Amino acid sequence: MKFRTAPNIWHLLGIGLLLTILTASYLMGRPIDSDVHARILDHGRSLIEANANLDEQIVLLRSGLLRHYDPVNETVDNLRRRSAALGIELSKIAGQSTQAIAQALEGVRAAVNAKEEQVERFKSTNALLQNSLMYFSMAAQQLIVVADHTVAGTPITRTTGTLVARMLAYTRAPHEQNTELVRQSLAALEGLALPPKFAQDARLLAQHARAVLDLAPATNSALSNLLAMDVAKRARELLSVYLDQYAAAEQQTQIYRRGSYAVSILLVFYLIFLFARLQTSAQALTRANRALSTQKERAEKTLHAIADGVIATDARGVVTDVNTVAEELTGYGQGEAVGRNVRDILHLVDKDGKTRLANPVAPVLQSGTAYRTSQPVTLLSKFGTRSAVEVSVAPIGSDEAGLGGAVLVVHNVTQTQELISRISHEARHDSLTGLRNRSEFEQLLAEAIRGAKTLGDSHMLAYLDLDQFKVVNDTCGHVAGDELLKQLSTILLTKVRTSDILARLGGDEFGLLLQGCGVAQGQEIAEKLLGEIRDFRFSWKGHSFDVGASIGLVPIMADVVDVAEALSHADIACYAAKDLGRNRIHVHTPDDSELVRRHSELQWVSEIRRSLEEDGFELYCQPILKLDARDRPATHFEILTRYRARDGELVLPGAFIPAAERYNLMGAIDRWVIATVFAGLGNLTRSNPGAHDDLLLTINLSGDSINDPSLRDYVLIQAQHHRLNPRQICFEITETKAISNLQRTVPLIETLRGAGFRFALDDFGSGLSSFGYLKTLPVDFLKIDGSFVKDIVEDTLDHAFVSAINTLGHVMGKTTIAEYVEGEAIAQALQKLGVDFGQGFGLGRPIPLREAIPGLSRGRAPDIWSSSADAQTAD
Amino acid sequence: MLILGVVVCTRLGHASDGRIPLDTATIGEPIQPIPQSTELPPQRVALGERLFHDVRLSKTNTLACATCHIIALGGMDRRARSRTAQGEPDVINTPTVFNTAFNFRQTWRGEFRTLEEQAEADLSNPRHANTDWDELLSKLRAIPEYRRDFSKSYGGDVTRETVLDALATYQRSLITPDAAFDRFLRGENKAISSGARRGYQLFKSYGCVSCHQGVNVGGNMFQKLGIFRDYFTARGNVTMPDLGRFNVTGQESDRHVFKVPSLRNVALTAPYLHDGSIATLEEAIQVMGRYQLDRELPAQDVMSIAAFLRTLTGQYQGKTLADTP
Repeated sequence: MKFRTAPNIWHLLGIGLLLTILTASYLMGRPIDSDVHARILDHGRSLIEANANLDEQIVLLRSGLLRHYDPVNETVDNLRRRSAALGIELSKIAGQSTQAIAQALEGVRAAVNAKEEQVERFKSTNALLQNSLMYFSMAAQQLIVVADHTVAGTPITRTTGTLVARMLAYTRAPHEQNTELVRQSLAALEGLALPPKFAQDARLLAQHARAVLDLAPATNSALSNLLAMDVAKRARELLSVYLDQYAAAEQQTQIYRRGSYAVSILLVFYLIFLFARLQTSAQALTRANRALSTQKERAEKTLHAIADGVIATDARGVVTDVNTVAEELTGYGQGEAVGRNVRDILHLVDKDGKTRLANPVAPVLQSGTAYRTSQPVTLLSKFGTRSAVEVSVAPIGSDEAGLGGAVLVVHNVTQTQELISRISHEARHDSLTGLRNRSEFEQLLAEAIRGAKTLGDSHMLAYLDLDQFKVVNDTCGHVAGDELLKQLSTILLTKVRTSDILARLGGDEFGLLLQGCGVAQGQEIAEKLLGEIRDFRFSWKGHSFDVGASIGLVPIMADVVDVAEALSHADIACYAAKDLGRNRIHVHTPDDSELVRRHSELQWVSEIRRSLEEDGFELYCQPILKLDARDRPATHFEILTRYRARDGELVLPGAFIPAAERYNLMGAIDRWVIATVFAGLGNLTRSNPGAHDDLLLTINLSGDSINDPSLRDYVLIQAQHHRLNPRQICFEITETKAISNLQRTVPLIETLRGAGFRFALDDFGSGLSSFGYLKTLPVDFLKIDGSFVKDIVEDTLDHAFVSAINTLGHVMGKTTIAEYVEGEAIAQALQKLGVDFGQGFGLGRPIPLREAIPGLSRGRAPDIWSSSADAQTAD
Repeated sequence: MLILGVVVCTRLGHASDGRIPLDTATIGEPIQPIPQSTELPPQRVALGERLFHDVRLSKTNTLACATCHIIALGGMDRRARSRTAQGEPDVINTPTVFNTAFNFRQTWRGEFRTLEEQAEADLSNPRHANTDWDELLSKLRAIPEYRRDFSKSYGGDVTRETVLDALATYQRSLITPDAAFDRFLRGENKAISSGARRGYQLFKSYGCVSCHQGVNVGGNMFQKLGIFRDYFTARGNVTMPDLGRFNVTGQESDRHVFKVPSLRNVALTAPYLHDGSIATLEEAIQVMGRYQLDRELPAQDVMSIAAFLRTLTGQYQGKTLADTP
């Protein structure tokens, strides 16, 4: 055989070509960069979050709770930045991106732009609206005050009063009828012959009443328009399209990998073929010795560089060569493998890992046709490690003497397999809890709804929202919050039926689809879950938390329109459950009156705000009596807050505190109470020095206030301003709130006690773990939780418990106060135990503060900014 | 309203664990103090400052940014209309360059979202720098100091991006914290006089604060000039720039709508309004009362509000901005 130079070049070119294809298909098959992927998901999520923030801020602006626009502008900026960043990141995957991504991205951009435009409109009209609302109430007040003092004023007072009432009704429900009523009152007011001194205020009143009628609809429509611009929905669409693309890219990568694998085989055959030819041609060997050795070296290097395991055998199945990858996969080194039959080094078992598979080389050598596994099989190495592999075997023909041997290529798919299963799992599951995620849940829900429509199935959808999750997150950080979610998910999973589907819908919200389940059974399961959550105590670094949940239930029957409707109903029902008090279940009903309730909550917010500005709250107080001198007049009172509604009805805090807590207004209410009580006590002391020195007033502090770093200064400034003796004020903090935020509570108590204020720990004993904390909480009073006190006469256990708390308190130098002293027998029992003070209906009901302490006039809560002016007039 | 309420509540439902960031201070005061420092790279600020004062940024080598935005004069030139490159009066009053970082948009019409966009537009504006990038970059690259300093600050050549970044970074450094009023907001009760305190109360109770609010006491929203009365009919001779934001959006509802200007350092930035037609602070307060609120403010209230506004004069580089250079 003559071996010329020219074919060498062709062979080199051939190998080069194959290598090029190999490299190209490797490069083309690269999946989306994982950093880019992470950034896209991050921007998407942040976009959705920013959108929710924006909606919240806008609502706060509309209700007058947020008084300037800087935070909104920041959020809008953030929205724009995130959508731009998404564009940039998505353009990096341009090679694989489709029209759909571009369209969805455009959708996001358009929604952001449209939303921003509506935000601008809203900002402009809302500024005017808030201005007119302010003028309206100011002018009305002025008119009524001035007119009240004149004989001619009566009709003016009456008409203005009606106008104000109607305007109030209008702002709550701006429909046509109320608009008309306002207009009628306006006409009536203008119909009065007004003396000149009223003219200015009447003009302002009418002008701004009209402005409100003009502006409220415009503002509300901008508000509803911008809330309807659901950037989050667009962003979710974009992410969903992108994730499809991502999955597709992964799949494509697989295809290219297979392509490169096929090319590798080709390459190997080619090399083997070259070997065979070279080996049979001694003459060529000698003549082209030099060229050959380089070529062989190159070929060997290539063989070893291939990412697949390659095993070459001769016609009998004896191994003639293995590459590095094959060495690693089989566990047999080149030295061990060469010369042995291939069946001795290649241990293939099927997927279950038990059944040994036949040696694939033998049939190929017999039949001369190539073979490849139809699905991945497991390769056991000499050391017992397992790899998922695809195997293909090809016969090598030699020139004329029949089969020259076989080449076996082992493609390791272990990582690919893992990746595939992980991706499909990740796409459908929540990474934190391992539960199904929202999109998967929505799909399953959609199927359930289809089933309900077509087959008449009935299911229940439950929406579960954790109460107090924020407390854990805020006091212990997000790591703790995450841990709580994980633990809770595990518990919930064990309590649902296997046919039920539990998913985490985001944040602290869970969805549960109870398949083939009626309302009664659904409630039963929900009750069970609720009980389970109630019993669960979450501990984190020595802190222990009660967790609660609210569950909204919706029957999934033929009349459910779609997933969005079902989820929205469930959300509303869950919200209603929360409103009804935490740890509850609410089943959605079509004419859900809870809608009205939620609406009313928002109105509570503006009522609270108004009350803070206009002193709409009233202070009540309940006496705290020394138990061994119960007949003496009380000098110690707990201050309680009541809201006086416009119709004169007195509202207990239970009605407005949930709204106040939800919208973080508790701190502002506390401040109002502090300012008002301090002002009153200051006045009292100045008007009659020395007469009230034994008075002690207790003020409750909410969790909001404890968390507010500026509260301390506020209290100190107010006290100084009103020249108050701090000894006369005691602040009350509930045990649970104090413990859940020790790092803030302790310094607050220490500073204020240093200034002379006193502190009481409320509801002591309700959290059973609390004795240990008592040492670290430098309080003056312990208020024994009323639930132990009220049955003290009959229940020996309660009796013992109160006795223990009392003794402990005294040992630690605290004064004890028993709550819920509802009758004389209880008072006597407590007195016998040596409890210092008692409080409860048996000793005195709450009465208005000004009745209890007549001189303590309820002055306007002083405006801190004009404090020096106030101080002068007060003198 | 009911439907609206439901929509609102549905949204808020997701924030039911109280995620709304709302501190009591925010409820309390509609005006917020200027942060006391910025964290900007000093080399870039210095480079931007040189560019800002360099007439070579204009085609004719006659106008620098600082020609109209005079740092020592409250960041503008005290003219109703600055002189253009052609030596004629410009079309609109030059706004101050101080605290522009806190504006949500730039210029009276608010067409620019960033200082970079605004700087680029002014560089190519025929009435202003009237230059283009080819010309400007080749001019700047020919100056060894710039080549050196750009390379030092940005590690590269003089480019469109770096020129704009330097200019914008410098402008972001032009903030005026520690105004007497800001010290008052931070709790120093005596930082402003009782007259100014009364003025602030009036500023709030008259409703000025509905629009002039936030860190910049303005600069964070759009509003119409002439809400309750027609300013432009009263003034007469309506020109294109008087249409305000309408020129940007073409929407009827944006006719005569402008970015609410910041009142920071307002005592130093006469004459007032977009047309520079009002000479004194007191007159400006009266005009605002008349057209925006439909009220003729009593002279005493005007004086108090003016006293309050004078407390908004802040400090630049540790010195209170002054009336005279």
